[in-house]
Order: sequence, then structure tokens, then C-alpha cells
Amino acid sequence: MVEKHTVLNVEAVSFDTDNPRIKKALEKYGGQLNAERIHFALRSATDGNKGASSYSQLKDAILASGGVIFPITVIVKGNGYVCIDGNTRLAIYKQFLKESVDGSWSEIKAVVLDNADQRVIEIVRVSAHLVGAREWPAYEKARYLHYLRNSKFMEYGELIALCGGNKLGIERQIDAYHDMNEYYRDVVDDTAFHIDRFSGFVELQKPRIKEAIFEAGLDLKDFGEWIRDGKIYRLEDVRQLPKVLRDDKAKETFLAGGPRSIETAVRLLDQQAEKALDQKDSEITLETASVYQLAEVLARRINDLPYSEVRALKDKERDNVAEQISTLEDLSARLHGLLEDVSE
Amino acid sequence: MSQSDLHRHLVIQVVNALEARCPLLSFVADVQQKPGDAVPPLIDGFRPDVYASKESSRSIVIAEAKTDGDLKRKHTGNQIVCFVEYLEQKRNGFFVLSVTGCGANRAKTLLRFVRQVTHATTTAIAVFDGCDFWLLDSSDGATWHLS
Repeated sequence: MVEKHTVLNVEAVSFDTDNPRIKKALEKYGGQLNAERIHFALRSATDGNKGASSYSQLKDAILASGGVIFPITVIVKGNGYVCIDGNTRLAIYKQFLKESVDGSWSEIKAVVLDNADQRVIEIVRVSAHLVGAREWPAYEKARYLHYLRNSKFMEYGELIALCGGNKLGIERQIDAYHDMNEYYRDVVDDTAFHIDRFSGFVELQKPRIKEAIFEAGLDLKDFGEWIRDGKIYRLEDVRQLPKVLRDDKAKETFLAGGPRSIETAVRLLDQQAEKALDQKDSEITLETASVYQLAEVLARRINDLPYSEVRALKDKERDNVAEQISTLEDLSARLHGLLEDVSE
Repeated sequence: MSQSDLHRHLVIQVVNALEARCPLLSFVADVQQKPGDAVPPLIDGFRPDVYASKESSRSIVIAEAKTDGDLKRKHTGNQIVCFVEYLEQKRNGFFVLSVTGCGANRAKTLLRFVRQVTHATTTAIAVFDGCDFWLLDSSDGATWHLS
């Protein structure tokens, strides 16, 4: 394989429709895929929680420096090129060109890989996407890890060397991807396959969740249906399954209920626990309660926080809002630190 | 972009897209340019971001814009349920949720459950992701199609 550094006309370079970052997002267009939609998928392909503005940050950076610092990587296809690393940078150049933004956007720095085999292309993609600075949707990432592990037979050691992390983390992502496709995809039409439900399947891989399902005489197909039917809507509620399934009344409430029934079941358990606590020890105060008792109550209170209070915090309606937000941020940082110390 | 600027952007983007598709609709949006500008009516205590109607066909369109963070709030679900139930009482109702590209999947999930809860059958329900309108299939209430 030969690497050639050059400058290419952006019109001669096509987007990579096998780009793992947007592969799933493009599937939904079927035969109606066009350049505008690929461009849109690239703009939107970030982890919604962490990197919603990363496209615009990159755009601002390219505009400020008058061009890309690192060249894109392309392979030759037919009379043109396909970009295997740097599709977002290419999209930004194409956008600037279309909008006649001041500057030189018709040509872009590129590395052309001549005669690259599929494995080399995958290695470039891994380095570009899995190790890249820009966050991307968790489902797409897991799908790509699953592909590298099960279709390209990449060893865990190799995956860890390339993308960092640990074996357990990578295994959980791959298993979550497998379970979602096995127990969720099968029961819904493909256009109803909502990848935002993926983190529910990541939660499913955590200790004791699957055991709790099996011990209750249920199976993972049931789990797929709970996610599909919205009985579990907030995906962090997957963690509540062991205690819900252990209690007959809560289990019945959850299984017989409609959308969000797990929340009703958890409320039922909370009421039972509160009642038991009242009977057992009415002497508990904020100071004497254990961290776990406080955490349970706090989680419930945050969940039930009236929208008026959320708005008051958001719009800084009171003088002491800054102080209140700072208290919550302090709690969040300490909790995060503790969980990092004790998590597997 | 701040959350309120983003929200305003989502409102304007859906108005522009709806105007391009249905030029005969008359719009009232909750983005007042100057004091005294009309605002959408209150519906069960909630004011939608966009209210549009077409006299000749008695169609009503309600659009609501939500940032990614707003989509996670219970309040959002309650608000949309009210709008869809209101439209269900009209003859030609159309509800659109305008979101960012990143929030489109979450928005689709939310609307699927809204439809389940409201048992809406006559109201068309769609997500506008900034590029396309995605229409929820009225027969199965689970699949989405480009509109």
C-alpha cells in the first residue's frame, strides 16, 4: 500500500456510506439517501448527552484556522475518491463552499491510500472513530465493536490497544448490541427500532439484572418487550428490575401495567419501605440516616421534582438559585468520584 | 447556543418547514417579535410553540419545539399528550415535534408512547429533525416513514 499526501478537489471526494459513525442513521433512508441527508447525519452523529455541539465547534475551528490541520484520508474509487477518515471535515468544506463562505474551501488536504486492503481501512476507521475526539452515538460504537470482534475476529487485546478501556467494558458493549438485536429487533419492524433505547441493554449487562429476570421465570424476550412497550421508559429504571421482580405485588403492577409501569411499581415499593421504616425506627433524622437511605429518598425527590421548580432553577428565579445549583453540583461530583472508586 | 436560543431556533425551523410545505396555513408562533403580537392559544393549561390552521379544510397543526434536555422531562410528555388529545377532537389534526438531529430518536420513542397513551387514530403525528418530517404510521403506531 502507498500513502500519498496531496490536495484534492472536494467535489471529487464522496462521503463514506459505510462510515460506522452514521451507518445505522443512514439505513432509515433506504433508497432515498442523498448527499444532503448524509451531511445531516454527520452533523447529528454525536452522543446527545455529551457532544451535541461538536459539529459546530469543529466548524468554528476550521473557519478560524482557515482550513483543516490534519488531512482527511481517502481511498480511490472509480474516477473519484471515498473519504474513510474526515467525513465531518469534508462536510464542513462542502457546506462552506455551498454557502460561499469567505476562504479557500474548494480543495482539501488529503492522504490517498493506494491499494489499501479492507483490514487497513478498518484500522484507519477504528483510529478515526473509536479513538477520535468527537463523541458518537453509543449504539453505533457498539455495533462497530461487535463487527470488529465477530466479523473481523479482532482480539480483545487488539481492540483495547486501539481504543483503550478494558475487556469488561468492551464485552458489555458488544453483549448489549447482541441482546438488543436479538430480543428487541425481532419484535419490531426495522423503522421502529429505536437506537436511543440502547442504554437499556447496556444496563441489562450489569450484575444481577439478567439473573433477576430468569429467577422470576421470565426471559430476555420479555425484557425486549418491556422496552418496546415502554413499561421501562427511563432506561436507568432497568436497575430497579431486581427489586421489582422480587416483590410479588410490585411484579404484578409492573407486568400488568402500561407505559412506565415500572415507575408505578417502584413507587409502590418505596411506599412499602417508608411504612416499614416508620414502624421500625421513627428516630431516624437527616443526620443519622445512612447514605443509602438518603440516596433512595433523594432519588425519589429529584424524580418527583415539580416542573415549576426545574424552571425556577433554570431561569434563576430566586436569589439563592446559584447556591442551590452549586450544592447539587458538589453532590454530583462527590458521588461521581465515589462511584468511579467502587465500580468494576 | 444557549438553551433558549436553541429552542427559538427549533421553533423557527419548524415554522419555515411547515410554511414551505403548506403555504395556505396561517401561523401563530410563541416567538413574539414585538409586544402585542398574537400568541398561540392555551390548551389545557399548556401553550404550544406553534398553532396553525387552514380555514378551508378546518385543519389544525400544532408544533412543539424541544431541546434534547427537555425531551427527558416528564412535563414534556404530559404537555404533548394534551396537545394530541386536543387534536384528536378536531377533524384534521397534525402534531409535529421539532427537535435537533441528535434528539430525533428520543423524540420518536416519546411520540410512540404518546400515541399509545392517547389511542390517537385521526391525528397525524410527526417528528421534524431539522432535515425531514418523519410520520408515525397511523395503522401500527410504531413505524416511521419519510413524509
